[in-house]
Amino acid sequence: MLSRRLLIGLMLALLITATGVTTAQDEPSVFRFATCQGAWIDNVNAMLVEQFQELHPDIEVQIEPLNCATDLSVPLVAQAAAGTLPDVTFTADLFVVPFAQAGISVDMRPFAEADPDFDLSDVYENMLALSEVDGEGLYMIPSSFDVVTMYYNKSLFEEAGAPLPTADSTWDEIIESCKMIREVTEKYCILANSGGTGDQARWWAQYVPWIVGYGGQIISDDGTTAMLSSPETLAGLKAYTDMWTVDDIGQPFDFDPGGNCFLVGQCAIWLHIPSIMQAVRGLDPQPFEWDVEVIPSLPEGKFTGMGTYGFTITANAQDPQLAWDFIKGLLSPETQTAITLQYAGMPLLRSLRENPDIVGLEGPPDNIEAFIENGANGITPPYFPGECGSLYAGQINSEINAAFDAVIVGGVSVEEAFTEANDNIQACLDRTTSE
Amino acid sequence: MAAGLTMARPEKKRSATFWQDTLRGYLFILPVVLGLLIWTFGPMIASAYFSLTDYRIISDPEFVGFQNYVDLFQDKAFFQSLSVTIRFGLMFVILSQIVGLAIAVLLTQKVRGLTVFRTFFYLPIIVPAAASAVLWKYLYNKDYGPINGVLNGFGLSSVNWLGSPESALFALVLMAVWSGAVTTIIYVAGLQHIPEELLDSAKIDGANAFQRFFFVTIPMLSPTIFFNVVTGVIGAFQFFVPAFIMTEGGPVKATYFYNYNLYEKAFKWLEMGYASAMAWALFSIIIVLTLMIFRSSPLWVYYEGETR
Repeated sequence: MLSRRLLIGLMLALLITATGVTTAQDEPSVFRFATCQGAWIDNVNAMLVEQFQELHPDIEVQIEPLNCATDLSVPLVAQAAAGTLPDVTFTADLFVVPFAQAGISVDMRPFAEADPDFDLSDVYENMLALSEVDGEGLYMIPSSFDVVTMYYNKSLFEEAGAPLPTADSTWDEIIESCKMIREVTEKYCILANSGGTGDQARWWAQYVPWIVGYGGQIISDDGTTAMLSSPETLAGLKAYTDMWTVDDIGQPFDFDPGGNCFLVGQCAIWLHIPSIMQAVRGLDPQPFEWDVEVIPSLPEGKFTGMGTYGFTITANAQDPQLAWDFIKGLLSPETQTAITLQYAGMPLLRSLRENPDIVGLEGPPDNIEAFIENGANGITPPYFPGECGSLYAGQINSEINAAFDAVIVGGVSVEEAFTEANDNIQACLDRTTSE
Repeated sequence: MAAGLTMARPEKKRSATFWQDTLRGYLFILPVVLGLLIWTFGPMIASAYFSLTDYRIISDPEFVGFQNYVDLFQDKAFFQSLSVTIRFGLMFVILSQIVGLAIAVLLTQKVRGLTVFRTFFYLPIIVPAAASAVLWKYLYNKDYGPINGVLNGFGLSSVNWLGSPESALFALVLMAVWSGAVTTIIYVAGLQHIPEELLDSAKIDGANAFQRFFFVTIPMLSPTIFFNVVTGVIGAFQFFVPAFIMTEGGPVKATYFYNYNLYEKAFKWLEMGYASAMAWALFSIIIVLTLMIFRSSPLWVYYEGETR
């Protein structure tokens, strides 16, 4: 009796072992792809899956939805610690450094350079820089040429009798126009709330250009000194926050017009990336005339934020080469053209700069070229060493948010609020960089 | 002789059924015991250890002794969030007792449709915290919120409930009082257990309704008040969801609750070691406050049959 059981047990063990060996030798049958969901990315996800399955029809792509409304680093750091990361995951410029440091993403440059079908030199350099860590590597395949550009409500400008923005406009001129709009139409100009209270006003891509445009910076070049209390930085921040505290042209943080202030026609200007045109075009019927223009200039020139989302191969990818086959599709001319033709972004490839289909895209916006022209003004978020966070997350983000809140809502002076934020950030930098 | 009479203790023989029942009993409670050990005591022990480390999730914990606790006392945000929570706790505990008791008194009156009223007052408990936060955010909206609509209807000007640092904390207190229907339910139960004969005796002795309420009902209800105050204080120090959803700690940190600060340190700044120390500090604060209330109870809590 016992020997019979033993025999059955041995046979089962052999069967299990044999199955395991067979599976390990084959290429994975399921490919795990973690990504966000929503109209802004669904088509891109679908295109990547489709292109991959043309190459590997036997592999099932399993999409794992990420909650992109929250801080992605938390679940992905947990997965990295558990060794259960998907093969490819969504990422964005803000996550490039922390994901690389946390061992979530891998350097994809060796794959890119070894791939004869892939031409990295065709990608705009400043966008590629968003994917590097300390100027090296390739930790994200970016999705599109996302430079913050000025969307404006043409109808409101005309109703107020204000001159329409041009490529040569200065911020001073725009502010004057905004005052006219405020006076004549009682509408605001600068959108401040995009998804949360004051979130857009405290978006680095919107305020950092003002700091740089007044000759300031947030952190010293060597990354050791917070510069929020330098005279130039304070001047830029003062000029920026004056739009709320002095000129009354910025959307108050507590003003909820029942939706996005620009889309409901209550704010004349929205600074955002090209993919937003999809949402504005989606208004049916179009409630007002609108267009886009390159960012206005500040005393030191034209500056605007740039950044994009993308994808990366993870450290737990079962077969990194297979993951590369999946991910590289994002920068194929077909995908880039399709993204643009869907008004979901502008192409990252220089070779598509003069593509007649793209240049001849039907408006609005009529001035679609502004998105590309504006690329020359793009600046990337400064990098903070140590573990104090970034302009998107962590202590640095919290301190700056609190300072903006104190100035715009609490009536505290720019000097007082940002000097305090600067001291707190400096204390953190001193502590964590010395460690 | 006496020594020889020592009686042997009767040996209890356990039957097989007894042992089977015992085993079965343990098996039945095993999931709960395991759950407690793994999901409650496990994380508590882990957080006690993490509180002594510099742990930022993405790197291994590094032992730093009591440094995180020392840092707490030098952290402005710690005291700021503690101050917000204490102010909230004071307002909430006092208001929720007054409102809860007042409603409970109304709900124990003999009127038609009493069960319907009781159901209405119980409803806030079954609404998920996140859902009620979203609902109240709409109610408090400065521009189109129904509360301001009512105020405007009476010729009063709108209040910037959540947008103003002056009113945001009080707005959350009001919401928390609305959500605290459990207090009312416990008061209803307490009121129903006050012997009628005591109230009748007082009435015969010439006590009016006011006197009966303050000199009979309240003392008899003091154990219930004691219970509600203790749970109210604990609840106030654990307040988080509405501040997270409705105000994000703002405006200008007016609703920067202790738990919001803790959440921010743990999940936004990834300072898990420091956040663990904050959690243990919170635990200690709650224990101290609870003990203080317990110690004060002989002065104001009266138990039936007790002589003083």
